[in-house]
Amino acid sequence: MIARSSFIQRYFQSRTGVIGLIILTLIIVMAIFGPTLYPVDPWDMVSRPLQWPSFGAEAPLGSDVLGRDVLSGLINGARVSLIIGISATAAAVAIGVTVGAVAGYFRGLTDDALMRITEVFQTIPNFLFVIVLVAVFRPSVFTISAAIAVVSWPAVARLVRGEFLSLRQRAFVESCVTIGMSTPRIIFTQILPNCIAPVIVTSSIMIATAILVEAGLSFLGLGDPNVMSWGAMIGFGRQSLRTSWYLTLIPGVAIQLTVLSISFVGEALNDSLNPRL
Amino acid sequence: MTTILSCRDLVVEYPTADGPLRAVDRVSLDVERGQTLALVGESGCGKSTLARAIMGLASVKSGSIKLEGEELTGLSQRELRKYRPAIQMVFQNPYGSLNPRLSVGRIIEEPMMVQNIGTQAERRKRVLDLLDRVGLTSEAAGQYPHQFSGGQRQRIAIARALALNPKLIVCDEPVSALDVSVQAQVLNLLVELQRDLGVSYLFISHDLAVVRHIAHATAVMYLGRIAARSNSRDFWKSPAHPYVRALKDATPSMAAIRDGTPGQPILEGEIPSALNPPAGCRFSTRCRYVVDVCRQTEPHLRQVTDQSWVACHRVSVGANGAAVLPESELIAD
Repeated sequence: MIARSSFIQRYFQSRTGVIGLIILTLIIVMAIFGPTLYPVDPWDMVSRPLQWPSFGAEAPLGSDVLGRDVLSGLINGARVSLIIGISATAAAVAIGVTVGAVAGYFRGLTDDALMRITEVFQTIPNFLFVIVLVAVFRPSVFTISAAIAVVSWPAVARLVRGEFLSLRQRAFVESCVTIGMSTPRIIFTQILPNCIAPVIVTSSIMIATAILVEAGLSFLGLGDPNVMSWGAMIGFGRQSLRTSWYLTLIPGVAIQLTVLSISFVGEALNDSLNPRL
Repeated sequence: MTTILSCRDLVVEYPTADGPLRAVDRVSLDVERGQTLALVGESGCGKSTLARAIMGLASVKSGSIKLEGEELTGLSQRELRKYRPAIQMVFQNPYGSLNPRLSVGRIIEEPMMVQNIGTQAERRKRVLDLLDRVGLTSEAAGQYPHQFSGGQRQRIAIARALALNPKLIVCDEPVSALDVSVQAQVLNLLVELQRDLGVSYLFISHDLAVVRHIAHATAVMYLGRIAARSNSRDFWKSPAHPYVRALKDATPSMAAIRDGTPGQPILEGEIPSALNPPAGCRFSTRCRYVVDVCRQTEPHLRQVTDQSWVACHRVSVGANGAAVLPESELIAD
């Protein structure tokens, strides 16, 4: 990395980046330590149904139609959302970087073949494709993450391919060929570090998208039935939207804040990793 | 004098949408040990392609490249690896030839790491020696390329090329991206390194003025072919080949400016497309001495003096043994 300290300085110059980082840190802390600090099972009926939020009661953020604690759902949902967002993105980046790097470095037939496959995945509407995959392989945190990864990697592959196509032509890469460096070593030590910045930025947006997709699936009842997630909470609250709108509002705001904070972080990363733009 | 690099009838083609483009067409040249062969020509004449072919960066269609008698064409990248240390390259643009994410020390150490030379401590010591040799301080090792000027970066690139103790360095327009004031410093460094280390250069340039100071032998390329070559520096004072003369006259000279006769436009038009080279002599479309035979038969490189070869129908050997062009016709024209 070029002068690490100046990268951090540039990051903290962005106000939205700092706000995003603070909110995101709070959500992560909540996801990690929340269930220990607030050990209420999100599936337990802890109070009368449809209790409005009020401090000091059994359920501080109210209870849903079955008397389940909304605060506990919120805390446990954070964990599910982040796990799915991060693991789906990690898998998508791993596949996308590999495909993009190979296609961009070797060009020619390899490139053509890999890009045609990529296009097949890109032409199917993402959300529908995820629904089909999750419906075929019973919904669980793992299959949902995998399905989101399967639809997300083409964007990374195209991005990395483009970077490789241009970086491969650069003299410093050719100069590594002339010293006898092997191809895998050139890919991993010379080209990849130079295209990691846009990948990081794209990843942050992909985490946000994955969280939204999972929420959408759970809302439709296609989420993992064994875990409480924010989307599922919105789905449960839907029937009583007019009378107990807080049931929809609270997890909705949680999703909003998470996605927004990740977007802020992504944007600030983009600005600080590409200072020349 | 021994030959370090020898190319024979080298052909390099690029596939294009309009068919194969022959960028280098039956080129032969030799680089002698400890000497500099300059390869001169306009943009697009194939000189950089030739350099890339020699470095194994462009694939050769036919012909041979021999490094100290060992054939390099037809070898895979893996097989080429053991010959790599002997032949290194300095690229044109020092802003693109250094990895922006690596420290200068690492950039110079890398060739030795790849070729498994020495321990880490030995390599680090050699990096400092090399930095010193190219005129940079040892502090440079911990800095990054963007902290240096173009001339300094080219010095770093030269240090990297020297790291493996090469016998030949292919310099592809190493000073053309630099300020004029810096060009001379880098050229002097190259000359100094040759004197101290005995390294040979294949020096590619479009600038005869740059070449004159450092070359032992010169070859001029036009549209993928060698138009003239000479081992004598005198040849270039009054070049016999019409294209070389045009190149020389296009070089601004202080004498001409002082005498009020700055070079008249000798060379008109653009270099023709290599996709569709002219019949006969490739220079016939722009040559002032052109006659019918030039448009029909391609001239071959032939010896005109004991040190010089030209590919031109119109050059003859004068009474004094020097190669001459028919001046009288030019006046009548």
